[in-house]
Order: sequence, then structure tokens, then C-alpha cells
Amino acid sequence: MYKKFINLRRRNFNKLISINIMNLLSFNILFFKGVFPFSKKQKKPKLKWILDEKDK
Amino acid sequence: MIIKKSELINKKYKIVICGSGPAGVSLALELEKKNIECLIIEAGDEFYSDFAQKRYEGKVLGNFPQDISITRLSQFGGTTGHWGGTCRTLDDYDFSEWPIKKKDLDPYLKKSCEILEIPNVFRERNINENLKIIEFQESDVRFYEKYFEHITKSKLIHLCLNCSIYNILMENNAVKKIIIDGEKNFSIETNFLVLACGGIENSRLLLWFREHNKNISKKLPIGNYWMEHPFKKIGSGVGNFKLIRKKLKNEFEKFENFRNWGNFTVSISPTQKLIKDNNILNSSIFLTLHDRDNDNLKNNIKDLLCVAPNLSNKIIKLFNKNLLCGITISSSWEQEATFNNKITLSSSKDSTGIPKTKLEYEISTNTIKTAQEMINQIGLFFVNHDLGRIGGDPEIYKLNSFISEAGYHHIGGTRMGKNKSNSVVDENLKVHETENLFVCGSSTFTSGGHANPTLSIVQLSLKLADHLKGKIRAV
Repeated sequence: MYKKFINLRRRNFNKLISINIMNLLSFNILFFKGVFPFSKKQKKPKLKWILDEKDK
Repeated sequence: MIIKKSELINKKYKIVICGSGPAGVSLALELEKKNIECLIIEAGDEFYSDFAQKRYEGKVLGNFPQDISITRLSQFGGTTGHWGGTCRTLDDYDFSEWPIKKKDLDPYLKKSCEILEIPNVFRERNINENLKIIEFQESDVRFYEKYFEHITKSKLIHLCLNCSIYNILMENNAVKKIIIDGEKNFSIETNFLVLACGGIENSRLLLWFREHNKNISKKLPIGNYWMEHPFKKIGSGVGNFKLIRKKLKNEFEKFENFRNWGNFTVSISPTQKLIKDNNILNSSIFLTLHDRDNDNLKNNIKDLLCVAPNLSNKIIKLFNKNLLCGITISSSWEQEATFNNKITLSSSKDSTGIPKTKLEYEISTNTIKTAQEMINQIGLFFVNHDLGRIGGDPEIYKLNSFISEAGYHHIGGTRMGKNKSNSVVDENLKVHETENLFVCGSSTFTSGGHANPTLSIVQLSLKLADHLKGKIRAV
């Protein structure tokens, strides 16, 4: 009975973990794809741009 | 005419030219016009052969990797068999350390352009005090296709193929005989020997000759001060296609669809003032516009808007009016003449018994400084005229990550000068302290400039022909 209980808990725990990882991955994918444009976090540019003060 | 190797045994020529590339052939053609007989010996065959090409193998050390066995061709016509054909004269200020000046080569420009079948026009126009648009010419001449048949019919130019120089015999600082193919009994007598074997071979052969001839001074920096023309994409941008074309449009643009990058390319170079004020190298920028279907354009816009959100509206307007274009910027640079960038002899030998080349080369730290300054100047020009915005690639801000393509222009190694401690040949291309040993080609350049070297090589050959004509009369 105790063993069954342990197995059940482990299954649930594994299930829970896998869902969370999936959520985390999909969130990251969506985030980096720019699906959440409301994010105020600014990306670092690759190029060093020569700009006018008014551009910024 | 073609001469068989067996016909050369114990023969005497007034002038022997080693190498049938642009330097050697241009010299022979000019001597022919002056009614002077010469012999060209070419280590390669009429066409490409693996056997001849194998002699070009060597070791390359440093931070500028290139395969020296494929960047040149060992055959009649030399590297013109696969060259790009881009031509331009060196700038006045490239000659600051040379013992001759640009005006000394100018009299040979018209004839050199005829040899290369290009217009004798190399215009430039300042777009501000720091930058100028420059004109290149494109030659389609392959020396084999254009001159081989003529030489086979010539009575004054004798050509021996598959015939490589092994060594020279000198007496009293003068070359008396040249030894062919490593056979001591097979020699040709000559009054003047001209090495015109290319920007690496000239140094290799002279180093090898010096090991056997005390008459060639140990103090001469043979092989040192070797240079290249690095080439690299250094930046990108976005802009207004119509405005850029209007502002940079010129009557002398030659690069249509440069490297398949786009449909409008303009070549920009720093003025002497910018070079002097900022202590940078001479260089040429190729600024290419590409259309809005190019993926780089989307990436460039995303990248720009990270730091310049206020440009969004302007970019959307340009996009809607179909005026938005991407910009790709690449550059090639002059390199400083540095003693430690050098050709030496390796421990392994080629099929004729001459040690192979060992090339040690480090790219100049000034290369990235020049790249940064040119991106900055072009960027400011775009801002001031509201043409668009330019950004420098991250690699040009760190020397460690700066990996450049080679321009395959081999310069220096037997540089020209008055001072024997930092030069190998004098202003007439004669090896210092010898009487009749000459070197011709880009190996004699004192500095490299940014221009492709072939046109200047041909100019130097014609100048040498004039000098040899005067010398021949005295023999």
C-alpha cells in the first residue's frame, strides 16, 4: 500500500514537472518570438549604430 | 617563339625573365617593342598542372589564414588565369615611403591600361572632407588568352615552359649563369636576370639564392615587410533607396550586383586628411544596397529599433512607399609594412629541391581601428543627409574575433627603398649591392595601398623595360 502510494505520488510529481517544463519552454519560445510585444524588456542590438540624438 | 629546354643548354641571353605572369609578360612585350630579345622561363605549363602547382605549397602561421597553394597559379599567364580583374592606381599618398613617386609611374599608365584593356580613367570625387567616391576599372584580360599566341610567333620573345630556375651563379656581384631544374650542368648565361615570379616566389627564390651566393647581402630584409589586403563585411544598415542613389550616384560606378549582394554598389575611400588626422590605414569600402526581400533587411530593422525607437514611424513610411532598402558594407584595407610579417624558407623542399615557403603573418591592429572610423564616418554622412542609418558589425570592435578573408594580393618581401637596412631593391628594381639582378612585381611595393596591385605591377614592368634598355646599350 505504501509502495503504491509512493508510485502514485511520483507519477503525479513527474506529470507536474513535465507540464511545468513544457509551459516554461513554450513561454520562452513565444517570448523570444516577440508574441508578447508588451514586454518592456529591451533587447541588446547586435550592431553598433551611428545615430542622431533624436533617434533614441 | 617557344624554345625547348634542350635548346637552352649553354645558350646566352642578354635578358632572362623568370615568370610569365603580368609582370614578366608586360616586361617582355615592352622589350620586344624596343627591339630587345629576351627569354622567359616559366616553371608551369601552357595550362594548369597539379605537378607545377604543388611547388606553391607552404606553411602559413599567424592570425590570417590562407592557402597559398591555391591563391596563385603556376602556369603561363600566372594568377591572371583566375584573377578578378579589378584595377586602380595607387593613391599619391601611398608613395610616402617609396623611393619613387606616383608621377614616376604615371608615364606608363596609358600603356599599362592598353595591356589590361581598360579605360585609362580613375576618377574620384570627394563627398565631404573625409570621404571620397573612387573609380575602379574591370579588366577581362587573361594573359594566356591574349598574349600566348603572340609570344609563340614573336622572334624576340623566347619562351620555355616547364622550366624552373634552381639557382644562380654570381661573380663580383653579378649574375653570370642561371641553373635550371636543379641540374648543375644545365645553365644559361645572361647579362640581366629579372625575377618576376609573384609576390611570394620572388622572396622564396631570393632567400634560396642567398644561401648559395655570398654576393647577396645577409643584411637585406628579404622576405620581410610582407603584406596582404584583408577583406571583410564590416557593417549593415537601412535607408532610403531613392535618396542614397541620388546622393551617391556617380558616373563611374562599375560594380553591378557586387558579390550578388544588391543592385547598386558604390566604392568609398578615406581622404588623405582622414588618414592623417586619425592615423588610420588607406582602405576601400563597398557600400551595396539590396532590396526589401532580403532577410538581412528585416533583421537590421529589428536591430535598429532596439536602440532607435523614434525611427519607427519614418521606417514604416519608407516601407509603405517602397523606398526602404538594406545596406551591406564591406571593406578591404592596406596593411602596415611590418618587419615580422615575413616569408622564410621551410625545412621541407619542393620537387625541384628548393625549400618550400613558410609565411608568418599577423593582421594589423590598425585594421579594426580603420574599419571603426570608416563606419563612423559613413554613419555620420548618412545621419547628416538623412539617408538612413549605418551600424558596425560586432567583430570590428574586437581584434580577437576579427577574422578576415584574404584579398589574395601578395605584396612586399623584396620591397623597394634607398636604405639597405629596410629594403631589398633600389628605385630601378635592382637588388642592392648586385649589378644585374632585378625583381619585378608586387613584391617590390614599399607599401600596399588599398588598390588591387596588378595595374601598378604592369606600370613597374614598363618602367623596368625603359631602364633595361639603357643598360643593354652599355653591354
